[in-house]
Amino acid sequence: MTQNDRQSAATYLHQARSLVCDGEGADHEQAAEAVAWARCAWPESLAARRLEIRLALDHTHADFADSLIAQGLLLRPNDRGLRRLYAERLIERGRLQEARTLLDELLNEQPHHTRVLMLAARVAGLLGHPSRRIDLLEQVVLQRPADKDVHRELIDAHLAAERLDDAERLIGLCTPPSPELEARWLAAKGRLHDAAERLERAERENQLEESGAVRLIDLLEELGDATRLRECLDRISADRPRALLRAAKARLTLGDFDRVQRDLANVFNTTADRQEAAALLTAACWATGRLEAARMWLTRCREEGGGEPMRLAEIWRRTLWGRLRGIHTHPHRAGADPEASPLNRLLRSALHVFSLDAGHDADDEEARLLLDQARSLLGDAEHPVVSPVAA
Amino acid sequence: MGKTTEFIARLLRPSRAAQRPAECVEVLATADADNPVDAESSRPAPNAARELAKAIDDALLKNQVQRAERLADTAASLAPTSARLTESLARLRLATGKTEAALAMIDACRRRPSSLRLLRLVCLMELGRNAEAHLELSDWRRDPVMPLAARTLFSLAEWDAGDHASPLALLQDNLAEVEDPLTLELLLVLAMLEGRAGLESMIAGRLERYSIYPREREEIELLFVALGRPRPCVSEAPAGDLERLRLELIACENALPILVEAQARSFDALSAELIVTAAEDVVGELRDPASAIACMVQLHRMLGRTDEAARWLERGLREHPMAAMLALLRDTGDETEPDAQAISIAERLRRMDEAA
Repeated sequence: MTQNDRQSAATYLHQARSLVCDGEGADHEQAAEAVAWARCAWPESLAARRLEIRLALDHTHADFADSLIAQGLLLRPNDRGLRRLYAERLIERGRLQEARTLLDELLNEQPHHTRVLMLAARVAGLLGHPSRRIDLLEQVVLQRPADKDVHRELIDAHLAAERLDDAERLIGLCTPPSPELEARWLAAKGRLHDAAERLERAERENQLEESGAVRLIDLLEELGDATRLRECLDRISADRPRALLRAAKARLTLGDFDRVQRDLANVFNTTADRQEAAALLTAACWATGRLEAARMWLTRCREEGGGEPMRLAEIWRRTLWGRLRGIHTHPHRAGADPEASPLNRLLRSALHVFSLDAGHDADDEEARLLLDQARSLLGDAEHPVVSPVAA
Repeated sequence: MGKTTEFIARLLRPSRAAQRPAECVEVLATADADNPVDAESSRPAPNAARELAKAIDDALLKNQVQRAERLADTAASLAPTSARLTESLARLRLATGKTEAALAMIDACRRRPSSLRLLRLVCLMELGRNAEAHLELSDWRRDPVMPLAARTLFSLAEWDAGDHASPLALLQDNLAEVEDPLTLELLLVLAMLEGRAGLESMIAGRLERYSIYPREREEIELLFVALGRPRPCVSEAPAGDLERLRLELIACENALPILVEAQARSFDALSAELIVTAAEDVVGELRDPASAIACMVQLHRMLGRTDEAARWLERGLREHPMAAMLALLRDTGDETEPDAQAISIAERLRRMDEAA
């Protein structure tokens, strides 16, 4: 490699680093181009490879990032930057014990590296070792006393470890105060109403972040106050995609299926989690009898990966609960359940056939007549057709 | 009441009626002509309260909320004496988000049948008074005649309170008395969430049998696929449904030709088989057996059973030689047979494919 190559590689690398580290505001294409030029100029450069991996991870190309990490580690198995990235990927994939071993090795080599300490704290939390998580985070706080994110992470660790006095002391030091952490502290104390009120106050004062809005929905669901929950859900706007998804889930339990369809179908392409959005839309369409649309969303859900079975079952539990809620408040619930009779089930299918025929062919007078007859039978059937079994 | 006051009251009666919303006057007028509402004491005849309740329910069903509200405004003062009317009004209040008002109305009602008690619990839950609702449901649970819907509500309250074992038992108790797809679906999902594979597969088997009905089949198939289960494969109706359908066809024989016409327009082998099996045992008990026999002929032809169809036609013509529909069927012969048979085979092949 010539001196000129090295120089141009360094220039591209510098440009790439500044673009990648700009975060969300960076131009992805420009950053990718700079990284590609840097790698072209200096193919063995691990710095360029690390930037490429970071770029891939930032843009959720996880598989590509994994292959780059593997290639890099084959070339330089001891490179700390690559091993850090590898540890991150292990955490993401839920391989926590392997991540812990790797991070312990890295901590032996670099005991004060804040990124490694943060990752090790995360693993400790996920493995259910709250005290270790706090110890690690306290080391980070010593190095970065002004870092608000680390501070919040430490409060979170204290709350998770139920060290409420320590959490309270640290929350008091937050500037500006964090309504979400205060609410979490109140909830941990069992003061759910106060916690919800704290978040609602923050919302009125425009100080509530998206995660706080999600937390408020969690709290109101836990309190079971449907009226207040509905008001809260109505305030969630489309520019808060995660909160909108959480709101849709809550709406399923309330039986507000039409609203779920309206809210999510419009923002599907920009939503935070398409797989979850598609699963929610499938369930909402199914519950309102729009089976064609439900099938379409189910296909989309599968295209996005299908979803974890327990998560899907929870969505369906909420949907069925919402459907039951609707039945209890339905005007004809007072009588026999109209769906419970085999004849009504068959008539409902017949009604569907006639309405399709009448819809397709405006001149099909017979279909219209049959439609009316089936409707009237279904209407009558709710009262007189009560079989001795049902009685 | 003095004579003068009585006279003035009598004079005012028509104008008071005129102040009521038009719909309300109409409903009350049709309610009970011989037993009109006493406007002075505000005590409605039982029929009037029932008719008002029905009118409010109908308006709500048709999404005519304003009409329902107008009817409710007048009916509100009559509610405490009629549980049926209170229930309709409370449902309207609940549907329009006035849960507190719904609850107050139920609490003011002098009589509280099970359905009203249940609605009260729904109101409590809507208002976030879950603990109160849960406590009342626990009390109710001691009553051996606790309605199934209340038991379902109790199981969901238990689930929300963190007890995941008793809801499964409660819902299974419900199924032992009356089976319905919604409870089965709920139980299936809860069993999945609890990792109870045996229960899950047993419930799935029972739910599968509802796939015999075309509309339910689509819903159940979709639910199964969404939950990652194989598509349902079914050949018989849920337990007891055949017997119930027989009784229902006797009570509502007008439904049979409509079901047959629907099959002629969109043939579905499974439900056609169910109808034909139920109908063949009750033909003799119907008021118009000739029509029923004609239906049997058509259904057997659709199912590709020409011999059976011919036997029914022969019996029909023997017993009812003047029946026009049977004569028509004799004249048209079985010209629809090849198509119907092809459809039937195609349907079976489709199901075999799906099962595979």
